[in-house]
Amino acid sequence: MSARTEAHPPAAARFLDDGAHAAWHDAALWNVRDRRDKAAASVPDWERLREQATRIKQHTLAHLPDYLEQFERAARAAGATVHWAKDPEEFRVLVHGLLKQHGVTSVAKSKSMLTEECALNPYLEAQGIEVVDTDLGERVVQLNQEHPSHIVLPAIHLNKQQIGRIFEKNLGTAPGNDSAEELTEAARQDLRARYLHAQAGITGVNFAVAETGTLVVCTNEANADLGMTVPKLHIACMGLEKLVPRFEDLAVFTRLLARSGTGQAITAYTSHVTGPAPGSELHIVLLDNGRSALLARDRFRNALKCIRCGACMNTCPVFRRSGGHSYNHVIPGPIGSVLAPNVAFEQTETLPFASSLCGSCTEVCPVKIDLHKQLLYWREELAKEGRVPLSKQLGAHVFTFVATRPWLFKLGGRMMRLSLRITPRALVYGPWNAWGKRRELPVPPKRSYLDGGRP
Amino acid sequence: MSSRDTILKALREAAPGGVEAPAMYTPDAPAADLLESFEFRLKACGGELAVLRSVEELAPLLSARWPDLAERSVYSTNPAAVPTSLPEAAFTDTAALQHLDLAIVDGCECVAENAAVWVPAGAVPHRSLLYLAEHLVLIVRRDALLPTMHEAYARLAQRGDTSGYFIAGPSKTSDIAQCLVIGAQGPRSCLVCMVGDA
Amino acid sequence: MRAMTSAAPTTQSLRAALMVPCYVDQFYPAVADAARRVLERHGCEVVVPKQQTCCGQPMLNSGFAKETLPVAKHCCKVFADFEYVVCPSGSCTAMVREHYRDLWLDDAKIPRVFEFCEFLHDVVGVREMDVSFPHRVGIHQGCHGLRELRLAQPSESFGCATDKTRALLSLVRDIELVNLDRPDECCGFGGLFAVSEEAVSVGMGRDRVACHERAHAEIIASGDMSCLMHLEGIIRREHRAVRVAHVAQILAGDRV
Ligand code: SF4
Repeated sequence: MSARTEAHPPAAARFLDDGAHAAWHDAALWNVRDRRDKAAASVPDWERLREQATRIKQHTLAHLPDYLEQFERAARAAGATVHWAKDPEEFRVLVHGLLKQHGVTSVAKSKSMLTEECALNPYLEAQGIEVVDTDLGERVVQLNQEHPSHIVLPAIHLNKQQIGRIFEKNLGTAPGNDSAEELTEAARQDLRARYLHAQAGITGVNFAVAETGTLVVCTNEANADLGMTVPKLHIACMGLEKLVPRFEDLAVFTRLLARSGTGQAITAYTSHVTGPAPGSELHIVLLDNGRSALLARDRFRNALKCIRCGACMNTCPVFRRSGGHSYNHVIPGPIGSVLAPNVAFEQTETLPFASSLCGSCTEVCPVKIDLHKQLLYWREELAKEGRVPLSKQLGAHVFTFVATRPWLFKLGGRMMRLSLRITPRALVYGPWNAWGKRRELPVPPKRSYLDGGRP
Repeated sequence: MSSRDTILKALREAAPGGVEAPAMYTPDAPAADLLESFEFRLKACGGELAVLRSVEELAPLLSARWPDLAERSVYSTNPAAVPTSLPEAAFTDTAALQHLDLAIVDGCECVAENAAVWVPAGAVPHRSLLYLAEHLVLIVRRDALLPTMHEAYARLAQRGDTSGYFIAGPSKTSDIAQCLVIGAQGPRSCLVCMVGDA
Repeated sequence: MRAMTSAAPTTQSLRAALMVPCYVDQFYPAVADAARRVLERHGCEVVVPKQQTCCGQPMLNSGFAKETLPVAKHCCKVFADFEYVVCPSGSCTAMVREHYRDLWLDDAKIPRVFEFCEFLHDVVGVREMDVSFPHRVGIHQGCHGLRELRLAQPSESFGCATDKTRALLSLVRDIELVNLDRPDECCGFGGLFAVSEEAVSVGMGRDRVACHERAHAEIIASGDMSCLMHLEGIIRREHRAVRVAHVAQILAGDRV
């Protein structure tokens, strides 16, 4: 996390260089957004449901420490062991300790953005523990030695042919085989053998219920379920913010999650785990890693409501055209851009600017996070800390000076239009003119409207 | 100070307090007929529905579907209808369950808006068999059909049934270039048999 | 091509100040003039305060809240005495109405700004229009007008907001409004975003133009000239046939 990561604009430009692939990526995600629209429309009280969800989360966050203690008590009473980790380092050591204690050498891990956040895989592998990502999309990116580009659709940046080649190399499928059915079948055969071999299953958590100590895990493939029922040790990893107060509140969130994320009415498997299965052990690891700090920030607290549905990514016109990897953050897209500065202010200063502020993310978000406003607020924080280019800072001061003096504003406009008219085209459209790289500038009229300019 | 206490202390300082919990949610009444909607949703997620008058109709239905049913490995929570073919010891041996062809399991609440069926964790001798089975048959009662998740959760909360699974159709994935494939890692098919009267 | 115009029925005499977005002032005086004429034709007395400069949006969107404040205050002062302020831009209107409060400006001091179509539709109550525009027109919804002012119902949300731009354009004779397969996707202008994220911005703009072309629009019409400045920049560079026009120009019956 310490190395300076690449800024968003050049990474996005590179993604767009492959025009055909970028167009496919845009269309594929637009299609998911379209399915989301239809799924949402099938619930007559959709907007009211979102309102309920945001209010439940608002309330939970306002009393988060109390609910966490309630959750801990209930989960313990049900037979689970609860652990707390302040940061990724402590988290990794803790999980490794549990695995070592149980003599685990092989782990089946289902999708958990939190383990990505903590870079758990490389750590465990360095300790000699084999980690198999079992979600098909995550398996693909694991075999390809990269990171998920989307929190719900981890391999959306790859097309069939690319995945076919990855499987050919790693699973021995036939060269040129790019049939989704056959590749999925190959992964099924490979993975099902691995569950039996694994001595522990690690999963993420979609929701946790304070009053009952219940964990809810939602998947379509049954991979998380296999991971938490076949081996005798289940380690569930969750951020502090996953809580809802009451068991019945789950109805609100299970109705929203899949419809928002993939346009399904519900995920194929919505599994409720209250305590371990007979003869098994359940360990729950709670992670802070900046969440308590985010809770303290008035303008940004709402970001903790996120249920990781991915809808804001699918609708985001920038995400669709720049790919998840261009964000260089474990969670990409609009929500990633508002979460990133909280934990890595220095490395993520272009992310709040990677948005046209169209506001579509805010509209689709099932828990009504004011995403586009938060992007704007982070820009303010960055400007306040002097973390925007000097040219912009200087420009802002000049602009303020000019725009509060109408005569100067008029004069400035005149000079700008005049210089645009008389400067040779080659000079106007030099490499310094990013606007003009692939666009014409407007044709400047002789007089501005306020200066008497008429058609 | 332990990490737990450090975290809780930080949260206490950060949590704004106030903000009442909203009242329980009352969903809008669904427009469509519940059974119709359940069937539509189940088909949409790759499952199938059979409406039976009584559980006696189950055996002939399954035999017609799997003519070699007698030779297959079957687990059944409803031995009166279809018997289990596995030895008792297999139920706790995941390696043996790996080759389970068919699991026939009693479900409880069915949800019309999304075709989810609640299977309590205690309904099966080993939870993994729900996912290791190549095919899954869920037997539910017609009068357990509810409009939305709200009614279903209200019932679960009332009887304290907090360990279990909502299952909607077979396992599936679209992770390869957004192409939907049914039968990802769990069951390749999911047949819901609805028995009795509304 | 010149559209037919004649005096429309006068409803009532409203006194309104015209807030001219700074880039419209500098680059598109014809748009501001069209807006004035349309308002006048519908019975408004239009005042154009000469002291106006800019609403400050480009700076706020770059994160310079502190530096925006004096500009916002200037704007409030200029328009303080008007019961109605009308602005031919959803984006600038949203800036004043939705974002000035974030600058801790006193609510009472924030001018009552209406977006041009919104004002005609809601305040003046225009329900007929004696203008002809015999062209196929695609409507480009500016995002801020759409989502912050609810000038129409955003395609991803559920409610029943009237599409005010469409409602007004539908009153124009001989016009054909086309349907887009992505009705309200962002064009990618986004202020300084257009420059700092040049590649994505142009990518979005090209897709937006293509969407209108697929629907066989001859004209892309919008209540926001800033979006159109960006789209027109792409259209002219790529020598495409489709053209752009501000809604005010169509409602004024101007040649575009
Ligand atoms: S911010 Fe909202 S839309 Fe985005 S992933 Fe989180 S819950 Fe979903």
